[in-house]
Amino acid sequence: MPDDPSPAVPPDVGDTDTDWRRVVDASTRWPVIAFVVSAVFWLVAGSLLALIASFKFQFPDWWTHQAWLTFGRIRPAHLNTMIYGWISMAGVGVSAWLWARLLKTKLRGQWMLLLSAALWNLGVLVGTVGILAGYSRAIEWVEMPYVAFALIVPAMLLVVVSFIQTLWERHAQHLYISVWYLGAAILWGPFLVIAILLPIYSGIPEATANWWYAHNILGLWITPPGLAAAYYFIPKVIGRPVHSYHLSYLGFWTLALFYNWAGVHHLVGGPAPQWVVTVSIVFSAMMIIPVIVVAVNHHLTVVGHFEKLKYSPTLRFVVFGAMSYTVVSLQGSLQSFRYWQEVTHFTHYTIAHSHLGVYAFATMIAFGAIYYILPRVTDWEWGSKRLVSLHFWTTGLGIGAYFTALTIGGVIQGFQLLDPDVAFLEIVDDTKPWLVVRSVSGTLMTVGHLVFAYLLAQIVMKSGERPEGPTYFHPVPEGTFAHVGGDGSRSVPASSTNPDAS
Amino acid sequence: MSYTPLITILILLVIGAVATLTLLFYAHEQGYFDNLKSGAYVIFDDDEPVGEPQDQLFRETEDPSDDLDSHA
Repeated sequence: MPDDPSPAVPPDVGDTDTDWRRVVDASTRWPVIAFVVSAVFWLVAGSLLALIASFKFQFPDWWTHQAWLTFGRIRPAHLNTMIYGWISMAGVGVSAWLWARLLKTKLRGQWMLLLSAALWNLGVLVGTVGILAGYSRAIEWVEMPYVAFALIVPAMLLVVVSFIQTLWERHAQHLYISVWYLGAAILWGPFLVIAILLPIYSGIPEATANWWYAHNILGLWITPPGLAAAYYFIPKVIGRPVHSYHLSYLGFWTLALFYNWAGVHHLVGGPAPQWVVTVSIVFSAMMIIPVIVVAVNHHLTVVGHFEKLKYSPTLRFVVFGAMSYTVVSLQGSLQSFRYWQEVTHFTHYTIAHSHLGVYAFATMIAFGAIYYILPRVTDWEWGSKRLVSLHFWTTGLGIGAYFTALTIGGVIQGFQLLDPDVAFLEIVDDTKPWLVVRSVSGTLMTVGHLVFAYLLAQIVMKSGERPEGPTYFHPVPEGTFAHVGGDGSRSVPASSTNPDAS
Repeated sequence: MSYTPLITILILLVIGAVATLTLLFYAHEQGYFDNLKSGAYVIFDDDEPVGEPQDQLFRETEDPSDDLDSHA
């Protein structure tokens, strides 16, 4: 690669090495705050919808007289607010900060991102109200009425423009691996949504397209920002580069090549042509390659530094998420096989798996990223280490219990469904204890979300006294995190690494 | 039985493979693969170097001797 002729510090940001990050962070302030605050609003709203849906399994006659509160509407409303409201908007907020830092230039198109946030919020609101009012399109993961997507698609395209503008004006010659994931997601996302909204599907092809879309929106829109964040925050917080940068390229390209084919594994045993299903199973198994690559990279970067998880909120949430990515992806590859799906299809096992992906992986990484980013864009700190800790334990234990209960319950349910001697209502009765655990763990996670929302409000509003230092879980032993002064003074000697740095 | 779809797919695969290999060859000739490992270091610099964990807020402080014990 040719030597970088450009200066280490871009001319459009500060005069010193210490200034440029703060100038870049300041440029991302309002778009990041807009997307993150909006995302957390939808996280809380979606959590309340989830609790209503979950409690209906314990109290099936609860709120059945109001059509908009029935399970058939509440559940898709929960799903859509979480996918398009929480995790998508959190992903955009985190991505905007990341690509400005990694491209080492001010974020471009800030007003476009603010407009995007407004349209996106309006779209999710219209969509959620539409579902609750009975206008669900009855296509899983795309239940919101068309009018909602008429707002969300332009919102996504505005994000694309902002990214491309920032990329065009970049001062970093090398595109770090995270930029590849972010750029790919930014382009794949709108393409997927537009493709599934085309009025060209019906019957079995519609089902096939549905699951091509639903699987890809998870793997090519939600997953890449999560991996991008993990590839940045794990090395950054620990202070060592990614274990194998060569492998990271392999991981990206194999994800890009293999993931797209795997969606039809949601229709194993269904009326889709069997060769289509078999192709999806083959590529679901091939996905083991990028997953192992990412797991090796992240794990071997952290190994030897696990004690830092005791102190750093960012590292704890992000490592939790990264480990969950490995588990959920390997699980996904295995459960695509016909012999496995014979048992687990149409059971609560599938719900456990999907929550392991969207929550334990993507959501926990989003939390960790937000814990790192918000102090830098607000120039404030998180208000309470105890509340941050409460947030971690409620959400971590919550998803752990959720996944465990529904996995066990789902497998039992699956074997019982295959046994003609077991009456259906007996199977329903046997799932009840696991669904109680689901409600309890969902409540725990919702408590965590409310705590996080409170912490977010505190830091955005800069309430209370200006914090004296970073918010760690525990007092940090001397030397664990070397002090770096705002004027560049440091307690350890500086060493020259790479002028093209972010 | 028509072999047109199969032939179409095979042709597309060949074209795709040729395009990919051409791109990779060009990138190799331009030196893009000469020092892949250096890419891992672009997130570090003199201010946030390798070997120093970065999880603290980067803020100006009037007192360079910040008391780490005061951190939460």
